[in-house]
Amino acid sequence: MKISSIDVFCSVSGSEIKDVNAWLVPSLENQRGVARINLCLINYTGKGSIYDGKNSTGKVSIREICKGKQLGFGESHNFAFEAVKPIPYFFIVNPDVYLHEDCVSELIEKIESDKNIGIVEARQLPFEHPKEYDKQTGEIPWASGFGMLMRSEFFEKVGGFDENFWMYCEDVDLSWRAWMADYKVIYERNAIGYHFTGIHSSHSQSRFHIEQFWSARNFLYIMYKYWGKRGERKARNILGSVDYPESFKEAVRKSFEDLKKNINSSFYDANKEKVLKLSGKIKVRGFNQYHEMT
Amino acid sequence: MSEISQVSIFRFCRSEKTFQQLRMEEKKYELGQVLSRAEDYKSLLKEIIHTCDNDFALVAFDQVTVPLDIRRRAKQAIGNADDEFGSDNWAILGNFGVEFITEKTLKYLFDVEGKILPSPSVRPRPVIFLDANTILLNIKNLKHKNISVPAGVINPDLSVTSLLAESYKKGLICAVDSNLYVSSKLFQKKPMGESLAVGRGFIEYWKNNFVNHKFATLDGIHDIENSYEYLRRSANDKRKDFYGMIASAVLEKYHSRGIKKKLFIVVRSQLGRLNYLQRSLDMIRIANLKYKAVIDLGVVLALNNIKKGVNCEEELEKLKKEYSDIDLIFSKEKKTGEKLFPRVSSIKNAVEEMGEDSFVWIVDDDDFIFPSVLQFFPFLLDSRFMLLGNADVFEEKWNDKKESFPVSSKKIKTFFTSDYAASLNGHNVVPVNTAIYPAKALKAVFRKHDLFGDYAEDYAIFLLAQQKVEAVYHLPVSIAGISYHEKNTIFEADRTHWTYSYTTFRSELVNSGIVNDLAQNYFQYFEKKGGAVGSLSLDKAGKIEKIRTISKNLYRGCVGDVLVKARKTLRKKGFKRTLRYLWMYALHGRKIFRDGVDSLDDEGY
Repeated sequence: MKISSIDVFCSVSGSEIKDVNAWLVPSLENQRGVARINLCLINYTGKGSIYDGKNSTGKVSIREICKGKQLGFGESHNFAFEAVKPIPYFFIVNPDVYLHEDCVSELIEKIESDKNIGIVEARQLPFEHPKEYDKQTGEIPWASGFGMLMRSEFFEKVGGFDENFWMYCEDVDLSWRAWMADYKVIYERNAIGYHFTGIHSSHSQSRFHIEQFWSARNFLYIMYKYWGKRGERKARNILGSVDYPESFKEAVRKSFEDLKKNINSSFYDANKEKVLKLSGKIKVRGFNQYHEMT
Repeated sequence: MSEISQVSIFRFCRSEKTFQQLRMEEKKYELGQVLSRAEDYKSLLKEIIHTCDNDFALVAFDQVTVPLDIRRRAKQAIGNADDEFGSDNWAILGNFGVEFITEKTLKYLFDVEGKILPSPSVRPRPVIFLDANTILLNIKNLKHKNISVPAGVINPDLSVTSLLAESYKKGLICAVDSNLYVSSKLFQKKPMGESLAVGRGFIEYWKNNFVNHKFATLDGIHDIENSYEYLRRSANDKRKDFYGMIASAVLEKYHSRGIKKKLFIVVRSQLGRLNYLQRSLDMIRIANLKYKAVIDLGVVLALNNIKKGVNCEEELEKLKKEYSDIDLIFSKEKKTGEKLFPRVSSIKNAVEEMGEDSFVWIVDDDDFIFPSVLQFFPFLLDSRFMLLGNADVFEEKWNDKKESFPVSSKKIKTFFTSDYAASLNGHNVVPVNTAIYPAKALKAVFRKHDLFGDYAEDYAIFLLAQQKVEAVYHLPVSIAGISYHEKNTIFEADRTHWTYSYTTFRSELVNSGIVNDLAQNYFQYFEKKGGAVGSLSLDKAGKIEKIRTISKNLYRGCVGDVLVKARKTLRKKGFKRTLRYLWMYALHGRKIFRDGVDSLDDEGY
């Protein structure tokens, strides 16, 4: 199979562009079974221009887009989706990833095998995500935003990423909404992305990271979004038992309170039956854990 | 070495009594010290930085006794720092600090708690924390970059810490050097936790400048209540990550020196499992793509015991073509003496071709390196050191197709550098793939020793090479992955060839004097005292979770007192998480594991 072209989105800042140049672009150039790759770099800082390389290298053409304001992960990809209007699929990937040469074609082959597949997740190595998946069908509760191929029709139909998340957990939410819209979320174990982030930061525990804060905040939000006030109560209780300083938890709660002022619980009211029916997929197994551990 | 200017020596006297005493001593020994009764230490530092006419100033507290040749030592330390970092790139040297990356306590100080003679620093070692007892200021650089102690900071150690922080902010490195070794008389120093509790000025400084909520000192880790502004959406927080800032400053200096060190990764293969080999080469390719500007990477495929039926030349040609972007060369086995020991000879053969100043990282074809560790190599690789890292072990399943990745992979454990200590006791648990050798050390091993055997050769090379370097640098991060998979040779029915090989290498080690008389005496001494030779694992609460004795013969069930003492010390030092501590190898008398022992060797043994 030879695919004529594919759009790839990557949300990136000035400090991450080195990874894009060193790893992402060369690994895209080496993709087999794809004739043309259109890489759209989303400058999420909203400032200036960050990519100063060639507009075209091998089979990869590269363009940078910028909205002029700082964007979260979901906002970035919603913005790129509007700007590029990819058809029929698009691939979103982290900047610090080196893709195996068959990664993109394996993802495409999978999504083309079933028109009901909305998302196909690539596989991270060497540290594989420890979540369960069906060995026969590849079905998973949720797909990680580190590398996912999405059907454009699905993305448009569900309204893209929920921008209230800003960063982290929006991929869980999008996956759950895929299941609710009768699309499948699939794990393709032959589509490999090498991802080495976070291994060598010996003092990483001396500070908190965006991931910790926003994962905690969005844990409250996603529980509220899908299970209403009961979910929120439960999430608050679980957060209370997590081994974080009280001041950190307070900052998390404050951020959620700020968000709550601007949203309503209509999603919960409109979807609680579906959520209940999909309890095998839409589930919470602990703090920030949306799957069974393998 | 650059031209070394005169060094001024200042002594901070906290009382009239110590002032008079030092004055008497100065008359007697004529060290040329300036005695100061400044109001506080911070004021003295500020004054020295602003008014000292010399390029360098050594500042020592009153309780410190400096060696008679301190000027010569100070000049040596300055020369070392100039050579290592560049004369314009460093700010402060000291003798007692917490090392960058390893977070190990480096102590070149004789005091009530530290009686063991330390090993030399070999080169100045960058630090993230520095004790105030004796420091050597690079006045020229501090003045040039307009660096001083921030307002409000009073405590001496915190004054030095804030000066260190201001220096790193401006890209200047701070380090320790054993040339500044001194004695310190009994001095009841407050634990850093207490100093922090009253050091409001420092805490304000920290909160205004850094985002970190924890702060590493010689006493352990301390919490600082800090704001979370930097985590908020659209945050306009200009503060820095303190440790990230230090890492950037140190690595930038080494990356920008324009000296690319040559590292050969020797991949041992029988060409029997090409998919594993491809994974290994893929990781090297990924490393090379990102770090080729700072490390000159070469790959040697060391072929041994080629399976029957494998068309060697054809496979090599394919690999050469597929990995044309990496510098891939091949090394084949050849005879050693009368017999052929392919696993030894393929390495020996490869090493013979390498330059004396290059470095060697030996891995098996089912291992794989972690590419991002290469960013540290311009700093870490030094021909005087052997480098030792941790290894992550993955349980993997591979299918029969030629896919270059496993069907499933799960990290199951980590080999820590301290696990390597077991090799001295004859246990070959050492993974081959986390030691990086200076090529000249390996060349010396092969020149001096006849390595007759095939299997467990990594064990022999690992121990023998340590006799050829000045120190072993323990890196507490995982640098490679090890694959545990179904087709492991451990299941071989006849393993007598392993036993013979292993015994032969152990004989070579004994006769090469791996353990000398001095070390043997210490072993016996500890045995009589009921000392433990082993490691401790502590749980989060600081309780002893697991005691791993390296030698059951030495253990003998009577280590209670020693462990209680160790536990108290650990708690006092604020260790809460798992810590592996080698009890005795500091006293080994040889260089082996010397650098793997942390500050707890101050127990007094």
